[in-house]
Amino acid sequence: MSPATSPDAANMASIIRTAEVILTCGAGGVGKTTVAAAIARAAASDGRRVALVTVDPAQRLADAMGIDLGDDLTEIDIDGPGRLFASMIDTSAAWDRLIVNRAPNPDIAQRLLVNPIYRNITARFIQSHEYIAIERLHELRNHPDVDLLVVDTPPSGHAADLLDAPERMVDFFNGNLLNWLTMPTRNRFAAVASKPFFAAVDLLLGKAFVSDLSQFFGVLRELGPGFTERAQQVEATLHEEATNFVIVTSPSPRPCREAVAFGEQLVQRKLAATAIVFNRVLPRWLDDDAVATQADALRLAADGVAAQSPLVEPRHLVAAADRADELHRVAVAERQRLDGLPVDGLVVELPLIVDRAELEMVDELAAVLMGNTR
Amino acid sequence: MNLFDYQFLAVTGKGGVGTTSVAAAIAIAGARTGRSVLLCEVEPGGGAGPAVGVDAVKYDPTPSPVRGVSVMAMDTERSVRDFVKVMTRVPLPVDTGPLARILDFVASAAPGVREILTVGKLAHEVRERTYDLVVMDGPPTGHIVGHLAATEGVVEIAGGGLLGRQASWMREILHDPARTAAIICATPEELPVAEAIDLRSRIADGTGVAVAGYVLNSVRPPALPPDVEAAVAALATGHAQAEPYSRALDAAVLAGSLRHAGARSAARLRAAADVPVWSLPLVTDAFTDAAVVLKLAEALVAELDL
Repeated sequence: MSPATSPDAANMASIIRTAEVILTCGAGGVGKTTVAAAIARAAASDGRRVALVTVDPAQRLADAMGIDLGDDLTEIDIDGPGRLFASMIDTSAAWDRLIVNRAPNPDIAQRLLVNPIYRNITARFIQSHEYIAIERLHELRNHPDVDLLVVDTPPSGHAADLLDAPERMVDFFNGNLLNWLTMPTRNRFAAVASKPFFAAVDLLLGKAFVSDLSQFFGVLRELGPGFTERAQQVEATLHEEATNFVIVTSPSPRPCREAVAFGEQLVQRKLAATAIVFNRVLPRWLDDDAVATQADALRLAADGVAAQSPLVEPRHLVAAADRADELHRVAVAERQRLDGLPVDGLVVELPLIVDRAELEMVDELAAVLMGNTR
Repeated sequence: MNLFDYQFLAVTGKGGVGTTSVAAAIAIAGARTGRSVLLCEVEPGGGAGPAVGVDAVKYDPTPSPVRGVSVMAMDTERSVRDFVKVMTRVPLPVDTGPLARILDFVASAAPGVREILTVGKLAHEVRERTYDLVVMDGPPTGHIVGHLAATEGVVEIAGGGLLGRQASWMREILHDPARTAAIICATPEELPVAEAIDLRSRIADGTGVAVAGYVLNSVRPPALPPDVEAAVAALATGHAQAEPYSRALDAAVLAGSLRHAGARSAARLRAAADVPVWSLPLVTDAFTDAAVVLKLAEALVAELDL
């Protein structure tokens, strides 16, 4: 981890107060989008102007945040001095826009947009979701109305999926295969070395498909130089000092392992995670042995304690003691696992919140992030 | 219909709900009925191997320590070689390197190519009846429809090629409700349940594949009746007699609210479900993937009443 983010110098609250760009990364199902939303709300409550960008979120999340899916930044009403804008991007729409903006002329853009293959493939491009997320990051990076940009990246256990997306896009446009596929057929056969490629693709997918595909890539190729340049700029944004990576994980074993690996992959690329966030962690007081010893005592004293309430029978208290015991054991195992993880730098724990609507949960987590715990 | 009378089960679920563990538990429970089962992980490194006690899982099926269960990991390049060999009876005349790059390129550009190579390989195993049951530890909810509908997409766009011509027999297997079904996994939490219900209709609308049922994973035991829970919570805060046990009571109250929240989400799924919902318990007393899965398999056998 970089020295600037040592645990003493920087806690999460000060990062939220000062950072310009925060990317939340991590595997699916860990609450990454919720944490991103909490970071954004925390900063906005603190008086900052914040933009939250999510790619292909679940519709329900957009509903919970009270906004429509769309490219544009939509302002969300918040209590407090700051402002919060959110954009929940639909990948296909974002690609359309990218093509319109990057095409050398409107004719090329139009030919691409009406191509039936194009309509089918935008969502399936190599890491196209990741690319769109970073593209948007680059675009909003210097927005005059935004102090902090929070980008919720698509779920992935591998840093490469995110970090290599722009480079792969460049490779895609500059690669030999695209050259070859868009070559006139006659030349293609003349290139003896490529004959087996052609035979294999033809065999598998059929001549008609290959010619459709060539035509499509032919148009796409005309985007080439502008697109490549753009992708390189976009990639540079990832490496800027102001870009903070926040890895989010749940306390479960596999997501934890993936989160640690994600951090190592960042380091290999001369980047660093600013913080790792353990989301939905059981409260610390559950680890205390007192929970177990009191549970034992409660079983013995069940008759006397139950007498205090007309509804509670001794067997209820025995059941309560059993599940207190069980939750204590789970909490201890979880604590040992988290403490044993090879993580350095800033570690943030967010509590398991039971039984709250999404938006309330976001607000509670925002309070915890700013150190205003209940 | 008995779950294990299907020949192909495609298991899917939102990330983090334990799809791989459920798929492995289904494979083991199927094997307990005397069937031979192939468990296939679609996403490399997905953990299907460790779940049945095989450390290094590869494309060629490996017999697991669990009798009757073999496990493999999908490799679309190997799958394409298999295809060409089976269809043309000649090996594909291309070196591994270029073929991998072609596949990468074409599969990232052409809809359904990678998916049909995955589903097609498994449909082939079903057709050959090498195993009684093939269980796919499938892709997460965002991608499963693409996999199950791959035959349609490929016919539409690349109908003239070898792959496109294979689509009809594959479709016959995938669309046969007596042979193939999807299983949707969720945990009793708000978002996974909502996503599972949503996926049910997307599979119905977007593919011809039947849904056998939902598996609700990590289900906590039932809580006490709500008024009793409330009374226990009141004891935890108000009574001098209960003071020495306050920590234990607090823990019990938290556990109770976790159980209640789970029960509510489970009830939401049951209310929306038009197919069976099978429950598997939250396993808190096993610490390796394989040990958890064995417990889930036992629970599944009991749940299916076999």
